[in-house]
Amino acid sequence: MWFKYPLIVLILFFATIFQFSLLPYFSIAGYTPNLLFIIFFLVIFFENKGKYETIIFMAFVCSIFLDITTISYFGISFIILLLIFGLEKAFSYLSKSGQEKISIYYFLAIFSLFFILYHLIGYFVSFFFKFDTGFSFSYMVLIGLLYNIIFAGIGFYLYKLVIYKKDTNQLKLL
Amino acid sequence: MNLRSKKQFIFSQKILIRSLVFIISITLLNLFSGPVRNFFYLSSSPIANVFMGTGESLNYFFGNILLSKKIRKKSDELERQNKEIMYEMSILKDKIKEFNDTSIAVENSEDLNFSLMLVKINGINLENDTIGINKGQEDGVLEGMLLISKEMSVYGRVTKVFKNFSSVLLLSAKESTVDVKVQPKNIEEKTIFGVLRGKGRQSVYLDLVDAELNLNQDDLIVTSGLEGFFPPNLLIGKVISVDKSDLKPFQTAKVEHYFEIGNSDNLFLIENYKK
Repeated sequence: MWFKYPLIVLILFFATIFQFSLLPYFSIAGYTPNLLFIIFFLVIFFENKGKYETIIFMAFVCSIFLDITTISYFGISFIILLLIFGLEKAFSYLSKSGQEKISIYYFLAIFSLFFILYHLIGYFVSFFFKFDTGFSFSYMVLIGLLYNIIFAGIGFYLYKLVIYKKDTNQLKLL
Repeated sequence: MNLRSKKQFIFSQKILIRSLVFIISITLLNLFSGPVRNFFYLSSSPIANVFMGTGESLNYFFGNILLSKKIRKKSDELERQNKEIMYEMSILKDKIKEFNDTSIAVENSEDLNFSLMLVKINGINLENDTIGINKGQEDGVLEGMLLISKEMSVYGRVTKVFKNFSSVLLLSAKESTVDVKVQPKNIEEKTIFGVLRGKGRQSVYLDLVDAELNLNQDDLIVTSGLEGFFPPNLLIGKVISVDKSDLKPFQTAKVEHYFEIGNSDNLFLIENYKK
């Protein structure tokens, strides 16, 4: 599917504009849903085998859009997203989760864990390297988490319905 | 070389080439960070403006569900008038003080010594308390320029200037510090000086106020102009609650700021301020 990569760029481009022009008007305690992180996490959660190229490309594009809007150095978000990807794969392997574990509750639990981890890693990067990455870490992250969970849940069902089901149906045909 | 080792060699070559591509791309992006960001702004601003207009309308619409349209309109109008009056009062109080002290002549309102550049917001990032505005180097924007509303409330300072747009650090950003003064309700009382600091996520607080001075709820906070970078008496906010302790040499206060991201149509940059 040659148009996969331009399509990823287009979707993330529109998600970025949506996140930074419309959603700030509906912020709660200064938090808005991080659509880029949610989309990235959905992809790494559902894609189990062999699509590392797509995921790394997606992490790269996501990170460019995240770094463009935070006026920080390019590449920081790429490293953080790759770390999240690596940790998620390690977690899946250790917990031995297979196809049968694609439930909304499991997804939201893993999402919450990695959302907090994402903010923690970003905060440590800015703390140790002494430059502003736009990350902060306090108890208010929990409010941001609750707000993001709503959008992550909606994304879960949409992804499962549109993309994941289509992929598993194609496998059945083979 | 057998088949397996040949496959491994090709695989490792692929990884190496792809890693190099990523490293080179990231290096180039950092080297040409300004033009890249400018290009993103230019390509996204038409769509972003549509979304921002929608966001403002929806924000207003949901606000109208809670308040009736008439009351909402009246409330907005009164709030605008209130801020205009507070700004004028803040200047008047200083003028009365100077007259009473008989040290220098009373300044009139035309003697404010700055001009204004009209700008619009084109992006909001609440994670690091920055907003993007639609003017840049080509329009004469400089780092350090102050962003205010038409009611003279301060939003923040320009920190990064690109070709066609600029980034403004809001007062609520953690790196933001502004010298301010508190206008006491009674003009006989001493003016209180302090520092306004950002806490992140659109909150600010007042710091470094002498513990022996009296801060009260609803006291008006304005710029002091002591730094010389921007004019005095521009509106910042009001005191909500005071945190005072005998063990600390300074008191702090929670502040409700006057800049509203959701209700900011036309804003202004202060140009060529002369002290």
